Amino acid sequence: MWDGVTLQQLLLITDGCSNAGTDPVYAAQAGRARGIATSVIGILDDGALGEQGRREAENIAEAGGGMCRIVRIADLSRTMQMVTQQTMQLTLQQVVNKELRHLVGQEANALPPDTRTKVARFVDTVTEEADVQIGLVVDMSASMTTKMTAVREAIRDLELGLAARTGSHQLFVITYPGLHGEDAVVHSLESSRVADAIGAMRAAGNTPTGPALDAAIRALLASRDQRLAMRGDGVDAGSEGLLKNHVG
Amino acid sequence: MSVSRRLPALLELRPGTVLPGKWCGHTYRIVRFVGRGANGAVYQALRDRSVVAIKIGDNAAAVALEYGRMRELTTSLGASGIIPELYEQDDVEHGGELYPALVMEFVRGVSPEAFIDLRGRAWIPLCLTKLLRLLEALHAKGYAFCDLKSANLLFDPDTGEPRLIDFGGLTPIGQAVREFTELYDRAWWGRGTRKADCRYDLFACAMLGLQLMAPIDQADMERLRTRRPVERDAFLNRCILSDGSSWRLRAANNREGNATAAIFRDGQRQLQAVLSKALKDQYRDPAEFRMALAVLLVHDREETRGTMKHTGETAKTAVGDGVGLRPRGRRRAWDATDWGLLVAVTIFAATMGALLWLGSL
Repeated sequence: MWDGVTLQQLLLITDGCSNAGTDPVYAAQAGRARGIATSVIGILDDGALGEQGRREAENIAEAGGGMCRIVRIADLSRTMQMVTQQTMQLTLQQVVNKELRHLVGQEANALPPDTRTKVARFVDTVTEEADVQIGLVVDMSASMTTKMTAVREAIRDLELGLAARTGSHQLFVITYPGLHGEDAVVHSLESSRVADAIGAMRAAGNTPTGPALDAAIRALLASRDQRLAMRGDGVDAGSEGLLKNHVG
Repeated sequence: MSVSRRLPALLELRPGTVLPGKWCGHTYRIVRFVGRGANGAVYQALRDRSVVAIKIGDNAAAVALEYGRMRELTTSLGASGIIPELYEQDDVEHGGELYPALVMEFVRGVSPEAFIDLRGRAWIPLCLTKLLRLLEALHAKGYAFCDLKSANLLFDPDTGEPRLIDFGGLTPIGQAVREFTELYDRAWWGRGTRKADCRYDLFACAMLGLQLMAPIDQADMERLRTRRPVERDAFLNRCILSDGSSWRLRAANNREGNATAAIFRDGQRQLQAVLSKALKDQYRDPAEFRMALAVLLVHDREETRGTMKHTGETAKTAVGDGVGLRPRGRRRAWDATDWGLLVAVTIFAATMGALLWLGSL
């Protein structure tokens, strides 16, 4: 029944505040409305994150229905794993809660612990088996230069974690700004080669976070349309009625 | 009142705080903070009058899942001490908010490092053997422990039995590993996948052995974070295959006698070879790894006997599972039983003497 479910999420990695183009909070909200959760990892080390960047990161995640973590670069790898994992669970949990409200008038957390365990097991199984598409939106502004090797290894590590799952996965990489004045570049790469490609890129310019998120959302939606057209049906994680046989 | 999804970073429960449970009718009085686990903060607490461990979670679903898996294992393994005894899952109230909580046995013991400092490095093969037995029991039930590391392990300082304490990383074999620590993760070292299987635990177990013998420097780990897995793999090779002279061995504790240190120098090369094979994923399963270690144990015993003759120490009964341990190099204290026996023997002898004398009259 969960075959063919594709979870889509964006993961924004930045060490500063947006300073060009549309408001990223607005972009994240638009993505959420289309079923794409946006999470943010803000990097602390000698960046321009500051109080303003921190607040922006939190607001983007809030609007995007995802999580926000502010970490040191040394913790990036671990945090990326955790955030993608928990964002998947969060997305599923929201669908499940919607169904539960519909069926029993309560959310999972208000259920007695034993019933909650059953729901958690179900969410966990789907997290393991669902197909995921992750858009990695990587800030390549000048202050990120020294951090690119760490970002490269964190992406490689994320790919290792995703490859171990039962469900399929696909990584999209969106870097911003582009080298030739564009706001963002969507790279079409094999998942396993993403890390090295990112490591070889040069950082430069300003920080158009909003337009980059827009571009990422467009890329994920295009891919979703393609998959649906190939399969010929219209199941996605937002559909109703998926849980009735599982939770009672 | 709803269950909060995130544990506020500042929620620190002071000793003496009383937490009423919502579902099971128990109240929990916090005794002290123990540590941070995979899915929340762990406290020692009093439940009615008994001492328990309570894990206050930051994610209700994660706590519920951990409980479900532990419950399943408890049912299939029984009270075998392989997993901490599980009491209940509840929501506890604090400051008007509900937090998901997991209540279980409070396991006492010392860290693996502390245990080895106490007993000496010659104990490493035995510790690993005992640990492998625990892991085998889990594997037989279809689970891998996955987040095996020093912090998730306690040793009973008297019997030397290891206990696994944080089951937040427990994963059905065949699924992706959820909780891991880079140092103990074979995928991070470029030596395999991050899929839960028995060999994933085996790698972590061998890494624990290496950590107990010659810990990898924190600065090296920081440096390796920005390196490719191939480079990490090469680094690990250099670590394990060096002749041992360059190893930053754990500082020998005063209590580790010279005799033990000498034994260890002999056994070290062999242990090194075994760990190297395990870290290269060359053992099929924990049993094969355990067999390789068993050879070391036998060798160790012979060496120990030889040395004991010279130093005149009490023979140690350290080798072999389940054998009681005793601080080495010290005679057992003369206790009440011994005095009793002496008195009894004396009285018996005196009585016999008296009877003989009476008879001869």
